[in-house]
Amino acid sequence: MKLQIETTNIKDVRKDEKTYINNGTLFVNVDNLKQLVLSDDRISSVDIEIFKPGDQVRIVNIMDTVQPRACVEKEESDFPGFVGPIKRAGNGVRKSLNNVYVITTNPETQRHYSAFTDMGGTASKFTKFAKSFNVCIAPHQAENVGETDFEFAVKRAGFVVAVALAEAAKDIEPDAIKVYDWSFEETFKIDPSLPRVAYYYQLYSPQHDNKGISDPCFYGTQINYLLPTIVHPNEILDGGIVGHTTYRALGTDAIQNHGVIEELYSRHGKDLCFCGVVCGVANLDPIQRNRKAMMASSLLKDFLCADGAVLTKIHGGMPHVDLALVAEECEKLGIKTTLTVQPLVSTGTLSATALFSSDILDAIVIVGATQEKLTINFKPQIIFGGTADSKIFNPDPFPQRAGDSIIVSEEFLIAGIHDHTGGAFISAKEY
Amino acid sequence: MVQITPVPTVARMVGVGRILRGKSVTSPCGDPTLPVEAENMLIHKYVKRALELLASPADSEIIYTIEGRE
Amino acid sequence: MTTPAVLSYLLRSINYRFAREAKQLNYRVVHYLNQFFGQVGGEDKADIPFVIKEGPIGPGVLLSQLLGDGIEVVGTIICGDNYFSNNPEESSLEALGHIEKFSPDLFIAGPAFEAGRYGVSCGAVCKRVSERLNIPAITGMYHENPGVDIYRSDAFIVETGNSAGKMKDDLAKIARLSKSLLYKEWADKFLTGDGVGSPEEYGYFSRGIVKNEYVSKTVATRMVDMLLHKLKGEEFNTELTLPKFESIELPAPINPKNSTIAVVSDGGLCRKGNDAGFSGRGNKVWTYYHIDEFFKDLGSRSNDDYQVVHTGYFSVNVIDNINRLVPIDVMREYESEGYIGNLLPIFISTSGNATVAKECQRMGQEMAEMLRINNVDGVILTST
Repeated sequence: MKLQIETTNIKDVRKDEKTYINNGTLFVNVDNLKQLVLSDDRISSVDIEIFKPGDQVRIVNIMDTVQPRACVEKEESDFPGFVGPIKRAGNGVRKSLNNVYVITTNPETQRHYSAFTDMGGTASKFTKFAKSFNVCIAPHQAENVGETDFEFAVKRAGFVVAVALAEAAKDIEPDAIKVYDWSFEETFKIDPSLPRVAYYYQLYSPQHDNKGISDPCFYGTQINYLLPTIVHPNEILDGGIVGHTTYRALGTDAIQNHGVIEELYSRHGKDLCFCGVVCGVANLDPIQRNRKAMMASSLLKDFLCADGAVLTKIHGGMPHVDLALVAEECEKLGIKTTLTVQPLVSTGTLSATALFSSDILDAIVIVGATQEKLTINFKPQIIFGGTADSKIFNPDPFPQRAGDSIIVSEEFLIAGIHDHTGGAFISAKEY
Repeated sequence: MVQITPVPTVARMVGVGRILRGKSVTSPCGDPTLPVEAENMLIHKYVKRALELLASPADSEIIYTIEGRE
Repeated sequence: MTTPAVLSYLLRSINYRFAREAKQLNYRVVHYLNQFFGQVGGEDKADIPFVIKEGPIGPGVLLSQLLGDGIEVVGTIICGDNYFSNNPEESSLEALGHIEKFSPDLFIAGPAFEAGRYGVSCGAVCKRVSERLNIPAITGMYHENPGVDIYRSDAFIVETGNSAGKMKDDLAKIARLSKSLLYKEWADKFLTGDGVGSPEEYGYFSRGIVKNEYVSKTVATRMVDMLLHKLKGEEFNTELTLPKFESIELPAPINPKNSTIAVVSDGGLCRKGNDAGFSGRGNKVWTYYHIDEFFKDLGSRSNDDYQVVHTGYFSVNVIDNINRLVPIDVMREYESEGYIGNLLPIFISTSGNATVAKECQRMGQEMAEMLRINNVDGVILTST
């Protein structure tokens, strides 16, 4: 499969009567975007605003953050399962916009917590969304629509807008073209002295499911019962896999620029041979967990013929244990591994934060202590996606509101800081 | 003490002496997918097994299940 | 502090800060010494109360030189080791009172090397200063000094030799750390914005915190680099060393039929409204309930009676049937049928989700004590 992403860099975004790009400025017909969103009758109305760097805005109840991308060829499917029909992602030409993001908020969320981001104040120094143009949407629920159904509609709306924006680049000469050309067959034609390195991608953990219903993040479908499976890396980059319904240090935009996949692609044929991707979910049931570890390691060994594997986890405590089990099974089969961990506390030693202890797992990289607390001083002029009374999550039983001028937040709930795909320049150390 | 846990490797790592593997993170002693009677029997099994383990010698390397051991 | 003193201190600070910014005055450092290094006397003078001097004294002179231009030791507080240790609480407050009058930007105590009383007093004053004046507080101790373990989280304790034999090197370390803190050389390193240099680089005992910091390579690059070294059999540095656990002495078997059995859970179960005050993550409290009140009979029990405060798993299954987390009805049945001698009428509950190990240990010890007092022989602990 060959994926060709043609990127246009955007320097400014303005409202206009048509949606088009001229000289690096994206002009947006907001009414048109609204019509597109409202074509889903689960949504009764929608607010859409465009914010630029420097705007003193706090965006709350964030469900997802998406980089505008659109297919060029009619046969290809945009965000399959959400916007387009379920068709294999990862092949063909895509138009992409840099420096613009769609931020999908759910102002009617019933979940215990949502992410937020600030374009001014303390947090703006750390989040990428303070430096980008953000097209923010806040859909409202139609009557007689259930909570889960509405959440799907909101998620979908974000992708619809992302596609519409990227389509503005259809006839523009791109500023950059990147080609992702990979086939399993071809991996055997690469210099055989290069080590074969695979990627195990822990996609999801059902432990956080809202009301016990899993988030649809794999071709628009739920995967809590997914057996480990092989996917093409381009499917990950091209919307086959998207962010969850709650942002936890992971938005769709991070997956569209997946840290590990980009790294393996960039070194393919140079100091390693990227031999494929196995993805799986963390299991709540220990029998299924053991089975998954066995199956995933077999896929990596017998079917991808991996010498080594890089493994990343999703947010959560149990996912550490789950990932370590997969890594241990790989090591037993002779596949050398390195895996990520996410210290869950900010005091004590790093060793004390480990949830597994096995001598063979001696190569660990720290994604960051994503639950580190950040004290944020910011009195926003605008709050989008909610109101000044909207809850800002605090694990301690003290309420915080979006309008408070000082809030304390765990970093993973501030969109644009951490990244579970391995793309952030962050680590955690003992001090 | 016997610990019923759906993440038994953590208990083993810490050195718990009597580890009984639980059913699932969201339901350690039961199973919401079973009909009421069957689930009730399952919960009985967990408690019975836990009491058996309290009456047996400790071994922090073994992860026990309701049927036997891993 | 009395209100007029607070006001006066604030006014002085404000004036001083404006003045410094306008004229680029020196950073002000206050130094604490015991009677010996303060050149008052030896053990015979260990009872002397506080003596306040302007400028540097004793090792403070060399320290001053090492701190260099732009940083001035403006005052020295001297106190007898015995005087201080007779009442450390009051003495450290008294010290604070003297120190703040100098409006310091930084505080240095000692170094104390291996001297226990001196180390503890240095640590205690550093703690007061960093808490109340919000300025960096640095001291120096030998690794066996009891002050290290007590105060390593409250101050920057530079590791020194066990005697004043290498005083110059030790003071140089203190000076280097001082400069890096005053000049905020690492300010942008941490995500929380209060960056400092690492314990390895500056030679101080780690303060027991874990900080996120910006580094030059992405997680993905670091993973692939590490893996390639590992595949080639080359050396590499893991970012996290896995823990080793002490083995616990395990209790002998009991006969449940003539035992008192208790049930405990860390699944975060409490009354609706979170009467326990649990935190959903990093929780440090535990509670107990009388099972007759908390677990009413099935007929009068309602989902609305309960709440699970735990961000690590969804609670729907547990709320629908409490027995999935706390098999209380089965345990009551077994008690009445004689399989359990006696079911403790107390249920102990906490929320175990990303809580620091030390706090877990403390809570476990407290729970164990309660169980011991109630003559419990065996426990069923359920976890999620």
